[in-house]
Amino acid sequence: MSEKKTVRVLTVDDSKTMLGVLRKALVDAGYDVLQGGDGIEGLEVLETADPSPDVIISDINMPRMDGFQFIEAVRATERFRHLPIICLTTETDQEKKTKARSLGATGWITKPFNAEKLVWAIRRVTA
Amino acid sequence: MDEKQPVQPDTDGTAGHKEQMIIFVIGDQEYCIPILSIKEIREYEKPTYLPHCLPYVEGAINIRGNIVTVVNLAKYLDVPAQTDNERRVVIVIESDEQTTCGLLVDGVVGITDILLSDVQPISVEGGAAELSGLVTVGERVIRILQLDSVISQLLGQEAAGTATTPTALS
Amino acid sequence: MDDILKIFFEECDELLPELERGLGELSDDDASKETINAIFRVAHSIKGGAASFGLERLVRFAHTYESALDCLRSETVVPNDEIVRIFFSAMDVLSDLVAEAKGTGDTVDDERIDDNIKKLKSIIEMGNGPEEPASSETSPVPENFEPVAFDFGGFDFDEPEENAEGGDFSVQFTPHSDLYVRGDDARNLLLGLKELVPEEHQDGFHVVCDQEKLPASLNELPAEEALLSWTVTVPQADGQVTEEQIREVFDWVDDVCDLTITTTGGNGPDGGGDGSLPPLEEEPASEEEPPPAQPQKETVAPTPAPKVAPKEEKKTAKHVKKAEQSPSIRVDLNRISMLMDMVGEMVIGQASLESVLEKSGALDNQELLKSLSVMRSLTRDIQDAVMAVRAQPVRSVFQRMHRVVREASNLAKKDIALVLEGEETEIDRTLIENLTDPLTHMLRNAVDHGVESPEKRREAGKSEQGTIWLSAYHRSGRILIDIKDDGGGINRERVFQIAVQKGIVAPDAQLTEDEVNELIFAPGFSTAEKVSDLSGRGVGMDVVKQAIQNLGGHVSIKSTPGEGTLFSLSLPLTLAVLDGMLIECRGSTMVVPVTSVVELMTVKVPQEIHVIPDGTRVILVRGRCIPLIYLADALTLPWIEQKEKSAAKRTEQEDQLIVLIVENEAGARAALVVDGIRDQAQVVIKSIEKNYRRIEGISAATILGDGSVSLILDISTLIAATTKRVDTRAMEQLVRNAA
Repeated sequence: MSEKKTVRVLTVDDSKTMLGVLRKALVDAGYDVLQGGDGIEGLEVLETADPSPDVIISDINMPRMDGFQFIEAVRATERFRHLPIICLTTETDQEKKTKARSLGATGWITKPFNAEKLVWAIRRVTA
Repeated sequence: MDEKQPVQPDTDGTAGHKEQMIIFVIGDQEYCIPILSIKEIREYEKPTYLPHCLPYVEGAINIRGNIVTVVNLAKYLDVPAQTDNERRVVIVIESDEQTTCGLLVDGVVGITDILLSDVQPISVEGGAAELSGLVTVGERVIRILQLDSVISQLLGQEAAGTATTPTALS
Repeated sequence: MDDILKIFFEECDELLPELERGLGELSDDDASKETINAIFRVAHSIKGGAASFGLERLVRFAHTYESALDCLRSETVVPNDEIVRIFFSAMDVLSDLVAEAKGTGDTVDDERIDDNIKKLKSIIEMGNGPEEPASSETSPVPENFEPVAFDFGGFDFDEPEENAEGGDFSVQFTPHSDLYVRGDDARNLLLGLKELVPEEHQDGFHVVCDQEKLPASLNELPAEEALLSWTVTVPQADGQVTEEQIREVFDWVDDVCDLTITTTGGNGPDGGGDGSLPPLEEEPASEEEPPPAQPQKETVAPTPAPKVAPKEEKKTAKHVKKAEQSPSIRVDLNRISMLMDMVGEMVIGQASLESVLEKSGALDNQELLKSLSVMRSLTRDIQDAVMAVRAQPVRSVFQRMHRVVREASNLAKKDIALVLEGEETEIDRTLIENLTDPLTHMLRNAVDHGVESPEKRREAGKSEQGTIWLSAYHRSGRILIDIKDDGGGINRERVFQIAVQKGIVAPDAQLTEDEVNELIFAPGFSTAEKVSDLSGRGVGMDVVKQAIQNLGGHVSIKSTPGEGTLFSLSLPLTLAVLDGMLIECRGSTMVVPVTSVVELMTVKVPQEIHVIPDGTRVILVRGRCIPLIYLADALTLPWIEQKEKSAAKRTEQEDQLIVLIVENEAGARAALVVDGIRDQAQVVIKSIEKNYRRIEGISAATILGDGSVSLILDISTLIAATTKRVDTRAMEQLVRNAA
């Protein structure tokens, strides 16, 4: 991995377990991890984090503000218009992916995933 | 001193284990307890009376925010205390279960190493529950106080009882 | 890893009650789409988490559960009573499987699992039509769902697929503008491709950029229009690189990028058909800098640079933020407890400061007084704020009771509905945790002994389904929890009989109705003739009462034959502090909780004191007869020193008494005879029982400003002890005579 600076990953998921799993895998892979418990928290962190995250990994199905709304909101913010967003979802149906993509998601990982897939996805957008 | 340590010396006399004991005096008799069970020694201050309490309970004092009961050891052991003693002190002990209590004694004499194999079991005649043995240091006979029974009686547990008193308060 | 597993189980503990609540709403027919989504999320999260830890049994079950819920979500199945019941029953299995995985529960019976899976599948069949799940009969988890145990130790890469063919791939792609809009970048794709190629074959990797569409001047370059296309030569590297892998690189962009992959025969750069253009290769010297066409990057950035964040844009960002809900964070409970303790110490410190200032006479200084009172109110506010942080709705405990009632009524073969009220009522978290056991027991008791069997209910002309209400509400600084049933009420004759049999009361005892009710709480009392599986287990209502008392609460009973029984729990809002009135009594300072004080008055001796035949002294206050409690005697306070003795004696012999009228939750009153009232103060509750036994009439202790220990009176037991002794009829007589 190119060692210029540590890549910051914002993980957004309403499942604490998933956040924990993600953190463990990402930290092990040498990433810096930020967390949000739903879309609203995700936006909060995104706004306030310094430095800003380099990539977002977000769940779709969440309370309060779901992944779709979250993607929309991120994309509506000028400085995050091009921030890579990877959806984390078990939804295998194409519809969800299409919707996520049309709202501006960069890519997706299908749950359950392993560390390799995760790291691949992040490198895919942050290399 | 704050470390958790067994309150009671290993009186089985296994091997040649030594235990450091603190010796204190009540009336003219010397007693000792393991030094590791002691949290601190403080001056006697007038405690707050606890209603319906056991005759040997002096009351409760505040030790850094904790309510600690003070036991008048002379009354507990049913031996005469020194009269007009200005040097009375409270030895604060902590049990394995982290129950804390204060022992009001007439004075602290010193510290000594006691070889556990030297401890003689006490002849049972009423005093057995309070004392766990005797040890002779030179000319002096020192009695070893059974701390566990002091504490279990305070908590209102039977000597062998395991009744748990639920504590809802922090 | 264990930490995360722990988080998973903690999360399950939060999710399952949520599921239960959602299902409850389903059964009440007021489930919104959001409710169904929420419970779907629960199953989904449990499945997802379990899959990460390879908890196969849990994954399998959660998956079926989720699939069944999906039918509700997609509205292919409309929930009815039967369906809700299936979900409830399966929820219990789900929660038992969680317990099993956690190691806190027994292994769940396979038959029970299969049975529930079968029922869930019947729901799925309803939704999908019968043909679909046929295939999953053998494997309930569909092909596309493979639980992958998370591998935390390094990353193992897949074995490269064999590819017999030699030669290179020529990958030609043209990103659309939308690719950039989504935060992706052609560079990412190029790097992705490059990564496919093993180190020793990197020589064969070539990139050619087609700039044909670029405007002549870079100034005219539209910032976000994709104008470049690339042709990349990817060596097959002896079969280590496959077309599938290449397609995978483009997986995310297949809708916003034109892609052609062709296989060429030979090794070496091919150009892929647009060799007319000068190759824009990066010199291989640039270490990590990617080889693709990026020379423009620094100058113009046709590939958008997300890291540029002008300050003005903050406004837009703020604007986007949806503000309708306040954000929340999760905080470690220990931190809050620590904060709470420190606030407690602060309250004591505040009191101590005031006491020192008072002694030194400094309180004449008006300004000092003013800032002191500012401090006091601040301390108070901080305390309230911390308390609010710890407060939680009782919902979590209440929700759990559904299962308790469900299981208990199944065993007792009774049909009972549990109705929850006031679940939003907030109470200190520590209390919530300690409420579960007593409530569980009381609800089992209500199912077992409160509600009658369906036959009996029919005979009595009631509906066969019994109802138990569990409600919570605030009243005068305390929280009240009611457990009410519409059963047959307490059979007082029977209760009395049993109490006599068990030697709890004398056969000739004259007891009031309330006193008979109270017998239920006597140690060793159990009305169950055979020890049932439920309320039995050697635990009686006396344990419940004790547990509630340990929380600083009290239980009272009201029962009407034929109509039902009401158990009322009254609890403090918090275990940490209380507003107290400091009283003086025979040289001791004690604390009376302000919530139980009715009024303070003086009584003339002897004119206003009446003695009823049993010797009790009483006073009449506005038509009520109130027994006196000589506090010093009731608590056996010793005469300490001669001086004090004479002083105290004098007060008692004076021609008037200071009395504090106090009241318990049931409304019974007594008049405490005290030597004086010192102050009103907020005190921090400290346990006596940690280092001592329980003291009758004392609930806890506190530390006063001067550092001394002061006892907090347990008004309820004091009143109860008095009223038990007093001849109530004689008191009533007295009131009548006075009137």
